Order: sequence, then C-alpha cells, then structure tokens
Amino acid sequence: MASAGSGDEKAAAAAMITLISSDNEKFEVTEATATLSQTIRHMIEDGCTDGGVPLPNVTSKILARVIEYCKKHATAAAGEEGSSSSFSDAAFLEVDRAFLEELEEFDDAFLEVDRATLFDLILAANYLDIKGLLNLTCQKVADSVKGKTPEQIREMYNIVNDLTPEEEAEIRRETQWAFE
Amino acid sequence: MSPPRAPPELIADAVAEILLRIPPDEPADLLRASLVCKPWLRVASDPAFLRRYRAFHRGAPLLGFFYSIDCRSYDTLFIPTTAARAQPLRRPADDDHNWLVRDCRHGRVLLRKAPRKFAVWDPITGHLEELPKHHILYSFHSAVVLCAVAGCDHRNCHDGPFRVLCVGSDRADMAIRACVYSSETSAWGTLDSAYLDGGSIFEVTRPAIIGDEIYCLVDFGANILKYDLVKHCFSLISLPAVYEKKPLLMQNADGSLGLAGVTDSRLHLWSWKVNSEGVTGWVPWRVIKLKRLPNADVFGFAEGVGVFLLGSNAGVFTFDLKSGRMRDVGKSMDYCTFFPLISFFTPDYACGKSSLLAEAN
Repeated sequence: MASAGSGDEKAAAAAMITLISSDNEKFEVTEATATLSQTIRHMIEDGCTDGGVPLPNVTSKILARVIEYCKKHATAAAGEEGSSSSFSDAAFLEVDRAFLEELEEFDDAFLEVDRATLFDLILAANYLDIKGLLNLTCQKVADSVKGKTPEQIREMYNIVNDLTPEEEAEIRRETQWAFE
Repeated sequence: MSPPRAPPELIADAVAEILLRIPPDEPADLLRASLVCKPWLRVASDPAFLRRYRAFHRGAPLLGFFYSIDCRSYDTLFIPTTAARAQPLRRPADDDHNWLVRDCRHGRVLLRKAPRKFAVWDPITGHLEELPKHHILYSFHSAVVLCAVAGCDHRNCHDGPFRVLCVGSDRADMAIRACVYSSETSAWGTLDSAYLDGGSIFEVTRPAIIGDEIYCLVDFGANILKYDLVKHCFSLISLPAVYEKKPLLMQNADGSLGLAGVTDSRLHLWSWKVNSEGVTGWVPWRVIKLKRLPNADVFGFAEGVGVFLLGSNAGVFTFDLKSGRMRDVGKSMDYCTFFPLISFFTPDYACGKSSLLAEAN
C-alpha cells in the first residue's frame, strides 16, 4: 500500500505540516493528509502553519486516530479537491472497486471504539472540519439511537437529563404515539 | 477492571451533526432523541436545523397509507407503515370528520365532504381548507390535489399554494368535464369538456400525475383517461393487458407513466414510453413473482419511495421494489383505494402545541 506520506512522492505531495496536540505531542503529516481538514487547509492557505499547528482541543490519543483516518482517505482523494466534498462523491468512482472495499473495511474497523472515543472523534472531526470523518462517526451514533427511548440514549452516552419531569411529561403527552 | 470512561459533553454543532443523520422514515426516532436533554431539544427544535434536516435526506419518507372503504366513516382511515403503530396525524380541530379520502399527494389530503364539496387537509399541521362547491355535474369522478409550486420537492410546502383537479362524467349527456381549483384565487377555473368514445365510468383508484397530465382509470379498468392541464384536452389510452383485479396507475422512477397489475401471483409492471419501433406505447418493465403472497392484489404505490402496498386474505403488506423486502402492516379488510402519505414529520410539527419547543430556542 503506497501511502501519501512516503518520501519518494512527488514534491508537492511531500510538503510536511506539523500538528501539535493539546498535550504538546508533535505529529508530522503530509499536506495532502492535513488538508482533509478544512480548518487546517484554510490555515495553510493563510500561510500560518510555520512552527506547527497547535490543536488545543485535540489530545494526542485522538489526534493519532484522526491522522490515521486522514492518511487512509487522503490516498483515495489524491489528485482532486475531494476534501471539500463528502466521501460518497464522484472522486471515488474512479478509484478501483478493491480499494473502495478496503476503505469500507478500514472505516468499519476504525469505528470499533468505545463511546467516549467516538464522541472525542466527533468533536475533533467537527473542530477540524473533516467531512468524511464527521459523517462516519455521527452516522454511527445516529444509527445507534434508532428505536431507543430517551432514557436508553442517556444511559448509552452518559448524558445528564436536565429537562424537568414536567417539561418531559408535556412533550410526551403530545407525542404519545412515539413512545408506545 | 475500571469502568469505561464517560463520553465527553458534545457541543451544539456536534449534536446537530448526529441528529441530522437520524433517518426520517421513523419520525419517532428524532423525536425521542430530542427528549434526551435540553441541548438536544434545543437543536431538534431549531427551525434552521430542521430546514437542514429536510434538505439532508434523499426525500420525504412514507408514513403510511390513507384508505377508503365502501361507505362513509367517522374514523381517519390510515395504515401507518412506520414502526410506531399509532397515528401521529393532526386531525382538523373543528371538523365533523364526515368525509371520504379521495387523494393524498405532496403532503396534502383531499377530502370529499359532500357532493361537489371538497376540503384539503394537511395531516402534519392539522390545517383544513374547505373549497367552494364546484360546477361539474357528474355521476362518476376522480379528483387529485397537488402542490402548485413549479419545481417544488415537497419537503416542506405545507403553507404553499395548491390545486385541486376534479374530472367527471355525467350519465345524462355522457360528457367528460374537468375543472381546476386554485388556492391562490380561492376559485374554480373554467370548465373543460369533451365527448369521447369511452371514459365515462371512473374507477375509484388514485390517478397518476406526470408533469401537467393527469391519468385516471376508467371504463371498469379497460381504458385510461388522460387530461392535459395546460392544453385543456382529453384523450384515451388502452391498457396493455387485462388483469383479474383493478390495475394501478403510477409514476415510474424514470418519470414515465407506469401501470401495475397482478395476474397468476405475478406483479406486472409497465411503462408508457417510446418503444424500440419509435412509437409511444406500453413497454414491459418488470415481472415480480409474489411467492409469499399468492392471490395478492396491488392496492397502492408510493412514488419517490418505491413502495407498493399489496393485499391478500393474509393481510396488507408493503413491498419495497428496490430491496424486495415485504412487511406486514395491517389486517385484511374490504378496502377500496389507498393513498400514500409521504411527508417529513419533524419534532416541530409533532409538538406543535408545546410551548417548550419555542422556549428551547
């Protein structure tokens, strides 16, 4: 598997960016990998990436996972403006089927994380504006709440219910059909 | 072993990204998720989020089928195709419910309240608009309601203008007449009429609309009457085959007029288009063997969603044309006609009366 980060890539792809996690760990990535993040793409365009890009909202543990995702998907998006579109777009139609299947398998395996990590990845994907990763992780949570009651969802994701019993009862009364 | 780490609190943007991806085909899912906590409720009731939600998904989902039986009923006759078996519909508040459903399209239901008297009901908002009596004297008729906005995708056109078309025939002079009501002028337009060799007996089935043309099954299922809303003209089309029971008119996914009929436990699908000889005619499209439902009848079709409603002594079933999945949705009855309700049912409409949603924003 050729990775976009290997040294013998053509010069444009080999431009390196340094990302700095909240716990001060440095990650060297290619520009192609980093620009899957719209946030970082804009920083590069504005010329403010010298000396590294500090990401105070992302821990090294999560940033490592995000980079793992971006590396894999940057290969697929190579050669076009794919990072500005969702991962189901035309860009991928030209990539051969075997690679698409491999990418799907990668995504499935990538999502096998605990719920806390899943939420961390959502927050990172949202902050870094990585559309494919945001779609992948949010769809996983959206699918997991299907058919669940509010209590079950709260329990799954450790969410504190700050609605008063009266408020909750009022809505439930009007929408009883959804709770039967 | 230490307990798993608790997930971090999500910011509103991230909550919106999750709620956005909850599929609309089970409206209860987004509604239940909105009751998780105040921040989630705030997102799910934000008008900007709901606009984005309706635009994000492929199209409005199928919520169920209205149906008519061969007599007047004071119940709203509706078979939900959602997992929630109760009816999440807003019945008009000050209505006597003494009506028959004659059509459902673009999120609106056409009700026949008395001879020549229609009303248009929005089952999501509960709004009911009574129409003035029209001028057509008929013995038999068909009627349709449709959104009047050109190019509308019907994701949220509840308050928009609509039209009602009534086409009927009078046994006395055998003339076929059509008339269109516009909600913008609150009036019926001029009457079109024609004398054709047939087309005088209208079947109680849902007409199909293709562009500006309306197609009704007539003459005991032997012919199709076509009425052009723009050119104001009528014509007759014959059917491609004779079916044991009433066939169904529909719009195919490619936009052509479609016909579905059942013979020998097989669902035959046809398309009215230019054939290989360059002539417009019926082209066979698909034949589907109804293995699990021998002696089934085709009751209805939800355009855009690609779901048939089939019935047999065993009950009423939805049949997804793409996946082939069949699902039991109701028991067997003496049904007449079915009308699919395809509409978004988002929490803003589900909790229309709740002041809580307004407070959340």
